[in-house]
Amino acid sequence: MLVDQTPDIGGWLDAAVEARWWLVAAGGLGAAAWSAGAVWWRRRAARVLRSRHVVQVLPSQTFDPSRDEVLSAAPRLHRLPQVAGLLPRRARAVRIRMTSSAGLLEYHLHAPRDAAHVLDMPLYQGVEVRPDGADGYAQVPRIRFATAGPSMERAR
Amino acid sequence: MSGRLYVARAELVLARRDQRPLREVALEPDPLGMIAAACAALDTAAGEQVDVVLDLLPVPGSAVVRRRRRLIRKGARRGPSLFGTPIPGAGGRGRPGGLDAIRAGVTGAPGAGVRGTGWGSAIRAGVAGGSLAGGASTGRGQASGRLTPRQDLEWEVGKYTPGQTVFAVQVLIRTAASHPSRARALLQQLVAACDAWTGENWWRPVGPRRTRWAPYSNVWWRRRSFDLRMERGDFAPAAPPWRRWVTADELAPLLKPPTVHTTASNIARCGGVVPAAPAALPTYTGQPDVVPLGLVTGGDGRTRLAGVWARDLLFAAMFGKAGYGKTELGLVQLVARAFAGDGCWFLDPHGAAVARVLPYLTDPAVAERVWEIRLGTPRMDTRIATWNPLSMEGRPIEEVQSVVGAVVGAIASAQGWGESAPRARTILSNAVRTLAHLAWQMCRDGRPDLQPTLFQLRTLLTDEDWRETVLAHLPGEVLTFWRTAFPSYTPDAITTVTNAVDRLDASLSLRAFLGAPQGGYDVRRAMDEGRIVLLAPSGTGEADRMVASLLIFDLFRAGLSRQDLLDVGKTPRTFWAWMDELTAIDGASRGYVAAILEQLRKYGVRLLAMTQMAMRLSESTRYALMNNQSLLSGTGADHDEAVYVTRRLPGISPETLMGVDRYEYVMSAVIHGRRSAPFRVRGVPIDQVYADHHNPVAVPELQRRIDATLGRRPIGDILAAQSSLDGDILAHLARSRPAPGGDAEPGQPLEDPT
Repeated sequence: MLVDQTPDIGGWLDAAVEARWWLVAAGGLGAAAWSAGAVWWRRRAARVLRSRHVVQVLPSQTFDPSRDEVLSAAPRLHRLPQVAGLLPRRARAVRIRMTSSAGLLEYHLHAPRDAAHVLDMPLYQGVEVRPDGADGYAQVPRIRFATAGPSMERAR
Repeated sequence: MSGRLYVARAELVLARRDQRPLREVALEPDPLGMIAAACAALDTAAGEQVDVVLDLLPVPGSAVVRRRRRLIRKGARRGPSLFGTPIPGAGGRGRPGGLDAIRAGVTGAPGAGVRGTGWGSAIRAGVAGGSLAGGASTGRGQASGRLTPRQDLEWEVGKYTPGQTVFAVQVLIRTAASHPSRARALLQQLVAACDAWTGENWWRPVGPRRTRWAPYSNVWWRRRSFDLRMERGDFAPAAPPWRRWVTADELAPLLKPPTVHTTASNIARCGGVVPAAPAALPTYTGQPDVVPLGLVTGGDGRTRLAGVWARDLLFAAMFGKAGYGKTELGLVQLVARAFAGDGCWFLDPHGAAVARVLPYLTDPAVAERVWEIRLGTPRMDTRIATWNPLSMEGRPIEEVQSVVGAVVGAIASAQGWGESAPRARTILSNAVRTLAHLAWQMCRDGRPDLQPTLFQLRTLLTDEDWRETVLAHLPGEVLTFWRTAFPSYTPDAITTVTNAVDRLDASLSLRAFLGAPQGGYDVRRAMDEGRIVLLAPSGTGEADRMVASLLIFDLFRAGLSRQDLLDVGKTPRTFWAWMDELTAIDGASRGYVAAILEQLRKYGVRLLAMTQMAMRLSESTRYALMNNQSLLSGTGADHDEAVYVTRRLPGISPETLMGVDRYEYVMSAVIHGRRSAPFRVRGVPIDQVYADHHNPVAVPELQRRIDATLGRRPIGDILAAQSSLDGDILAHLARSRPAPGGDAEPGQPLEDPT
């Protein structure tokens, strides 16, 4: 009974042997395409990872969220990578980094660049979100007065 | 060890299959406190560092549903069991061994509720409960003593109950220290901190971990991948796919920054949350109708240099400790208003600010309007400006009253007399009035260079002959006090007044500044001409406060005197005044400061007053400050002051204000007539924002120009002329005819002016 129910594997094998060159060629092409795609996908992941958005989350002195509040912030973290669109799995994760800096414990969040606007919003009440710039703060703009005389143009 | 750092690495994975839950760690006490404790002992100068990284990849709900279904089927296949362990004896002869069951199924033994034929269903039937004996005993097994399947299945499903938020997780820990054993010790501390999650499941490091050496991920075959994932952020955990998922419930303490429920104090905090700056605040780019405040962050997260409209800023009250950058803020605003063409007046309490701002005022647009008065510790040949508070040059006789008010108010405030020294006040008032009359007389005689100065107060009160000679030439109403009340005063009342004057005498620069009958410094002229006045009276010891008081009261008097412009319908030119330390004017009579603050705005004088220790001011002055301000600013303060200021900053707690960083302020401004909500401002240093206008090379040239416009003379010359002033006054009075005693005839011209 077993033998009656088995599919006709023998017939298939014969057909495959006859068409072997086509099969090998098709298999080779498929493999090449797949590996090219994989390489491109991996490179895309590296590119996306190089340009992530980083913020520092600073709690206030009286920061005290309830468990409920934390559990309702979790779906926001869940959604962050979806906002960034279709990304390789390698590059899609949200990172929570706790690091020591000058003896202080800092809390940072990293996310894909396209989710930056969602990341900039505070997750909880009582925290401040500060983007990590080159020096952590915005550059001070240089003011030039319109009434200033031309003799003040000096080589800088 | 010359800075070489040793790195220890560990990656944590779940020890058992991920449907087994970790312990639900409570939010208090905060487990992040343990991580902070590990950071506390780091030697940051040597570059030691600790990084704990948690990468979260969201798992879609459909994948969780599929996993849950698979687990339920697996639990159902196992049959009656308790916590995963099959229970023998329940359900008849119990479950047959696996291979026998398959054979039973394949050979067609009926199982309960089996439909269809084919391999899959046959195997399923056999495994699900078919026994070698067939259906009968199965039925019997189901009837007797079998445990409720639901409990087994619930245990099998573990934490994947519906409604959970699930992440795939990658945990990396890295420590760097100057000694390898220290790096390993820190790493162990952090791995031990994660033991708080030990329950049915727990975190364990990957890599060799059973030896004492325990390198974890430091081994060469793990290191490269670890470093790449740590630096770049790749999500490629070392755990197999069935040990990667955690729920938000388990991760809750890590999904938030450290809370208040930890005793660790080395946590980077933001010192209180302040709302974002209103969008209506104008951005300052150098335009003349905006006064700059500093960097603000808007609701969209962008930071910009903002200011307030100049027409809205009538009076600013800035509270906060010294050293928090209030003077720097004042300088930035001063340069802005100077280039906008307005007059400015800056009283610098510590002397360094004036030197700091001069290089920015060398531009031709402002240079010819600059006046600088610095009373540091000079030498005899240092050029200094002079000022006589009692000068009546160019003023009508009616102004004697305001001169007396200003001088007496200033000296009373500086000495802290308040309401408690009425005799001293009376003596001083009358003495100043007498000298003012004498000064007016001298000006009328064409000898303004013989006007008495403040130092003649001492002569007037102590030298009886000089007093009698002078009084003989003054009108009757001045004489009344000296004839009637003065003789009854005891010497100690007089000493109170002369002590005040002696304070001024103590310093060389003050003797020169205040001791000349005529002076180049005239603040009313500065107001009308739009000059930029920089005053640095400090460095003169005890008399700092008195000089500051004299200058401030003189400013008030000059402001009120602009009524004459309003009387002829002219608009007074806007004049900005920055002053520190309002305690210098606090001793005036009750209500004086309030009246001044209310009135000065009519005359175009905009005050920006800074004070530390607001609680030292009298109640009425504090109240006047608070009520009249159109810009309120608070920075680092002690508790009482913070409570007082935050009453006018709705939504800000005193703790927030106390914890504000240096050079940061919480401000509330009037924008287009409406008061805004409080917002945070970060001060900008003048050398960054006005870097394009910094020209220290031109400062000596600027000083020479100031010498000319202010009439600065060497101290030696001034003091030489001063020593003979008493005698010169008497000599002049002797040459003229004495006025008839008792008659007030100030209008009568004299016969022969010399």
